This record gives sequence, C-alpha cells and structure tokens, in this order.
Amino acid sequence: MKKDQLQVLEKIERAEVSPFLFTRIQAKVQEQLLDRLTAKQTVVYLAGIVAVIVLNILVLRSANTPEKPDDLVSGMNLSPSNQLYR
Amino acid sequence: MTLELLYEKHAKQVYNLALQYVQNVPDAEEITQDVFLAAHKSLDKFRNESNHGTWLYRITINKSLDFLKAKKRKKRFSWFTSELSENDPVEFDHPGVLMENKEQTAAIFAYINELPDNQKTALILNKIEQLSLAEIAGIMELSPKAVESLVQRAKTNLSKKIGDSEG
Repeated sequence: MKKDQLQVLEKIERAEVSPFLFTRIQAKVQEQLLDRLTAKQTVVYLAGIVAVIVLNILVLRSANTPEKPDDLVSGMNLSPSNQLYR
Repeated sequence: MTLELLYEKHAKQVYNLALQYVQNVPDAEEITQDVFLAAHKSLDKFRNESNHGTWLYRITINKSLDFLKAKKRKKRFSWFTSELSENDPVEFDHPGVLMENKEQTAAIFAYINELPDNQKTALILNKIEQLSLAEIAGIMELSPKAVESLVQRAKTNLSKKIGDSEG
C-alpha cells in the first residue's frame, strides 16, 4: 500500500454535529417513555378486567349453590310455621 | 451522568466515528441518534470498568456495522420491492473531507467498505481516529498485538484491491 494513498485518511477533519440533533434525540426518548407508560396502563386495565371477571364467576357460583330449606328459614329469620295467629 | 452531559461530552466523537463508516451526514446522524438512545437505556447499568468514551465507541461501532448490514440487505431486496428511491442519501458526502481530496478519499473508502468488519474497524480507529493500538485494544476487547495484526491485514487487503483496480 503506497504511503501517500493512506495519508489522505489522516487529512480528514472533524465534522461538527448538527445543533438540532440533540433535540431529535430528546424527542425520541420522550416517545419511548410514552410507549412504556402506555404498555403499563394496558397491563393495569387488563388486570382490572380479569379481577372483575373472576369476582363475577365466584359470585355466580355461590348464587347457583342450592340452599337447604332449613338453612333458608334460619338464615332469613322466617317462621317454620304457616300459622299467622297463635 | 445525565444524557445531556454524556451528549455534550461525546457527541462529536460518536458522530465522527459513525461518519467514517457511512460517509454521509443523514446516515451518521441516524446512527448517532441510535447510539445515544441505547446509551440512555443502559446508563443505570453502565459498568464502570471502562470510561464512557470507550463504552460509547463500542456502541457506535456495533450500531454502525448493524446499519451497514441493514442497508446492504435493503439494497439486495430493492430489486424485488423497488424500495430504493431517489430519496436515499448520497453515497459519499463526508463533511470532514476537503474538496481537493474528495475523489481520492472516496476511492479509498470504497475499498475500506469492502474489508471484513474487524479489519475495517481497526483501520478506521487507527488511521482516521488516530487512536493508539492500546486504546483500540481496549475498545475492541483484543490484545494490542491482535489489533496490530488486523491493521496490517487491512492495509495488505487495501493494497491488493488498489493493485487489482489499477490493473
């Protein structure tokens, strides 16, 4: 390799960075932060929906369990007799 | 260390190194952006085994090489997709090269661009960035002897390519 051919590389000067580049980088950082927040919100909303569904299932299951008549009477404080007057 | 301080201290270094790989302003700016975004994400986890400069050099080298590979892939498939447009940046438009040296420098860079990645990196860091073999060894995580060997192989390969082109 001729020495003078490579020497042209040593003559390359340092270029200045555009003054607007940092503004663009900051904008991208904000954009990424926003994407991360949106992802977190989505997870929270989904967790909320799942919790509501699970609660509903539990309530429906307990509602569908048939109660014994005696339990119903004592639970609701009903009189076992159908005599209105003593 | 904040992103702003990091940028203030190292933007010129990162941008100029990216320029040596892509030789035009829009691509170099895109790589610089990617480097500082990656640095910002990892700033908390930065291991203080080497200084910020060395760390940023490494990120810049990796981002530049990834950028070139992606560009090569895009060119390869542009035949099918017609994606290569007039809006693609000019190939050689290095702002650090004086007009009188432009043609000669562009020719040398055309050959440098064909070198294997490690030889290209060692040559750029040694001949253009003017770093010592020890400094390059720290950046590339090699021994100084290995770096010296890479630089020598790069020069030999360049010499062959220039010889072949001159006939």
